[in-house]
Amino acid sequence: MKRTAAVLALALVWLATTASAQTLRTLTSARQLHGETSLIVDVTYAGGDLKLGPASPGDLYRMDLRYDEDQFTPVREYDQDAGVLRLGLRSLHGHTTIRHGHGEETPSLDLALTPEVPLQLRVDVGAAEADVEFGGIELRRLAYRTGASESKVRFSRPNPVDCDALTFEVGAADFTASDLGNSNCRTMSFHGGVGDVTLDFGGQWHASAEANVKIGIGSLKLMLPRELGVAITLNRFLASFDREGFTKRGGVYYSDNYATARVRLNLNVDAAFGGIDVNWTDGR
Amino acid sequence: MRSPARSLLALGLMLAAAGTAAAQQRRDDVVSHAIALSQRDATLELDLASGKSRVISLQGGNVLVDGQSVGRYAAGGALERAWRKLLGDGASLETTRMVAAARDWNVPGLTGDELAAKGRISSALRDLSSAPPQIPAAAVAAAPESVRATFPAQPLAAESAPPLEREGPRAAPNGVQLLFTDVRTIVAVFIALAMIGFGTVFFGRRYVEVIADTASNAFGRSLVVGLLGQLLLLPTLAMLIVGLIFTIVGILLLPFAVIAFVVAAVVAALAGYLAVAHAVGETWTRRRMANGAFVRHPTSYGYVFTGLVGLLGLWAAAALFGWAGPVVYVFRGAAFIVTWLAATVGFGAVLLSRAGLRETFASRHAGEATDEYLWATPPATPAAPRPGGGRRE
Repeated sequence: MKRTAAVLALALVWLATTASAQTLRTLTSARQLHGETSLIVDVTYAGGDLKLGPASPGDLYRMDLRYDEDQFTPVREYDQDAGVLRLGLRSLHGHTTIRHGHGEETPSLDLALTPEVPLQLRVDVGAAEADVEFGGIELRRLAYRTGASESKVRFSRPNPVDCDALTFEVGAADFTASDLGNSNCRTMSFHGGVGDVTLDFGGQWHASAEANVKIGIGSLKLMLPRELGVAITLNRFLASFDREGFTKRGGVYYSDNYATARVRLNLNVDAAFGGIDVNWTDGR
Repeated sequence: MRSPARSLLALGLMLAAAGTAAAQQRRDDVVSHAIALSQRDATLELDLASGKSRVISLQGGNVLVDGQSVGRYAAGGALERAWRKLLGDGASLETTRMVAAARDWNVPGLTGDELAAKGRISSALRDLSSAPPQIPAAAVAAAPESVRATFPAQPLAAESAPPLEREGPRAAPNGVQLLFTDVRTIVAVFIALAMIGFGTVFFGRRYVEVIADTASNAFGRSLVVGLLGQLLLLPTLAMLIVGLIFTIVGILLLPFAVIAFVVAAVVAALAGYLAVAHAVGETWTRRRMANGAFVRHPTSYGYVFTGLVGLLGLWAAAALFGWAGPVVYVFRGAAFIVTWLAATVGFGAVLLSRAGLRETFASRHAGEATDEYLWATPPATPAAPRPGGGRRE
């Protein structure tokens, strides 16, 4: 009896220790600018905490990773001839979700990208809590994709270069994008599955733009500066729409200043099962 | 004359040698670095301008340079502690400073194997320099296919980006897109309602049947009650709010009461709609059976499924004929009326049957009173004996 109890106790101790076993590894990587004039950057991140922002002058990138080396492997490739940089963290076993034991540390990625070279940037994030600052980074093109996550994306400073396209693909997530006007992108696309989405079109607008928003189930909050001329083409199913400040003509909702506005935003919204709220802001 | 010629030749050879050495030097320039620290290893990886890399790692008692063991160290000893400190401090440095720090790295007091291993590490770092090289400008056009797929054929330079031509809102989607979108929506709604319906039948089949029977047996009464219920919803909510406010204490309950009222109304309408779907499906199935069709295992699940197909059929027709111009409005109008009628009757049936608890208006039909089951139960009337009573040969 005593022997059985001892074996059980040992087994419990072993289970407790292996359950929380985690081989943590930190990886710090940096590269300085060496005459690059443009770059394609591909960021893949399986999941965890993500911080992304502009790097210090002179740095091409700086990456600080913390992860379980039994589950993940870092991505750090630079093809200088093709001008392609790949960074991030990839699962070793093909998992697309992150599993944490009780008390285990969440993987984290703190990534800074050069503010001095125009980038075509693709960010592919799994289940993550993301805090992303694109303000100050020279973006020619951005594709941001995330699965189940809570993402806060900001453009706190204007993009110094013209941006052709900005694409967000969001699965089940709470997603907030702020100061999209600073992105300086002519075409914006947002594809959302399930969740609460806030799109703040504040910031400095230099040219008119078109934005396509598709959202499945959830709430969509549009924050629109008053000085912006806005036209909304709405295709909705069981989704309410707060039309305050708009006049409907020919199936399109126009803001009162649409005809006279210096800069216009044409919004195409497809929504089902949810609500579309519009908040007019004073801009900046 | 021969002497100056030799001198010129010697000078040329020296310049060429110097150029080669300079080129070699550039190829060994360190352009980036990575530091990895874990319980298992402490690794410094230096990427060279030539595309190669120099990897120095302390791992499992071995000192590795580019994967080759060049010495041994004691776990937790002076060499490992000093190496980890160097890498830990270097995490915040830029590449140039990191390389300089590594080359200036000094560990006092080493002896034996660790001293030899330190010498190997120093010699592995000795050839490297950290002068910033000039990498050729990146050629995005030469990017690999996998990357180009993400950023398909777009001009990279901002100057060549096309101007935004369309100032007005997006052009209306074409017929095929509309058809696809509408059909997709109908299918999604159908699946959602079917799932809710199956769940309701699974957990409360008896109540669903009572509501469905109330709707079919007391259709007119259910419709009238449903209409009145709709009209009285808002006044009832208002009375509820006022009543709670008057009680003072009830003010605290106000948010919960309002939410509960709205949820109850939505659930009643949805349950009623599904019950009407059940009734429609059951009626249609029984008619088919009465006409001699064989239906394997008629169940409430099948009734709900069939009924939803029937009720959403008009919406599907409206979606499919979206390209046909004004005809679609006829379909949509009919679909809206049918949906509203079903929801109203269902809502009324829910109220009449007290959410399926009262069977007063349900009165399930007596099957034997009709001829519906004749196909399954032949009449048991005995045959009259033939005159003469003999067996027919």
